Amino acid sequence: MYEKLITVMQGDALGVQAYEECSRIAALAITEQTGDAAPFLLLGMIANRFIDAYRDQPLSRKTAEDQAKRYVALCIAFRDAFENGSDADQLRILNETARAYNAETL
Amino acid sequence: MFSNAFPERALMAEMTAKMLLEIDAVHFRADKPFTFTSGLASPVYIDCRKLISYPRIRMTLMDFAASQILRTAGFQKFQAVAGGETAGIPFAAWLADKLVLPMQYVRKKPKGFGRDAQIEGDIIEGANVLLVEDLTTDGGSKINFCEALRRAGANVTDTLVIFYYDIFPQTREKLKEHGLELHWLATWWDVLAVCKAQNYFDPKTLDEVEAFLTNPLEWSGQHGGAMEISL
Repeated sequence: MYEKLITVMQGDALGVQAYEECSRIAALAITEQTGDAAPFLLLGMIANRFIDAYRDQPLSRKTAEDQAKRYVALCIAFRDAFENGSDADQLRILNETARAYNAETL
Repeated sequence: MFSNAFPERALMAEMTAKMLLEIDAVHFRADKPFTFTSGLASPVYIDCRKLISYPRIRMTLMDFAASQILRTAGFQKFQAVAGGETAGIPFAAWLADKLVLPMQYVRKKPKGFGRDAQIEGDIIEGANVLLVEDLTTDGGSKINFCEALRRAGANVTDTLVIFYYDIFPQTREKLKEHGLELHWLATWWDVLAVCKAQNYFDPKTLDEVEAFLTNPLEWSGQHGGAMEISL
């Protein structure tokens, strides 16, 4: 499922609809990939925040590209931690991401 | 109350375009394109929500809207006016007031808790409801709002917007397939015509805008945006 999110964000359509697709994928992943529910919940929340921010507001091409890069990097970090990392690695990236989300720096 | 004036459609379109330009609701930016929800790169952006802050302009636009609806859809066709969340709500309220009709508004999604309501306000089963929003690009949100109103028992056959992009020929066809007739006051072509006539923006920018309006997918692709979108 991480690959599906990465594929969406590496396409050329980086508007709100791309994040709506990511939100759907993340919600599905929570039910199908239950061991990774926490990272997919965070990835869904990040996608939903983008949708809320830009559904009715102008979105510059640069902002869209920068956000897509951050989202892809986060997907890769979660994938690596949850496929090959230790329990401590997984907990660390979950906490780092949650803190960044709360501080609105994602 | 509606002034019972019926200006020519072309005059209303030109005046609407001038009003949007006067309040700086129109943004042209070819060097740093905007990204639409579909991922389309665009040199144009319009903020119709600014209109709510200009009473003389919004009153004139609501007169235009009433004129348009009464002339093209009929004087007795609608029993209510519904606004789409968020930008459509004030325009629906003002138009409902002008047409002396009840009003509702439609959320993008049900609240998800409590009453789980998607429609606020009372809908009369089978009532003809006019759906109002500020603008439409591909018509997608109109269809979602319309379906929600229909599920609640309304009969929805018409939708009115202040601004219609008019860059995808499929938009009106898609709305028709969903049983919706689109009414609007102005398009990008009306804005471009006023810009050319009154020397708003520089010629190079206007050339870029016209290139986008003529072939939006090609312009988007050349500027890093989506080259195809689902309509």
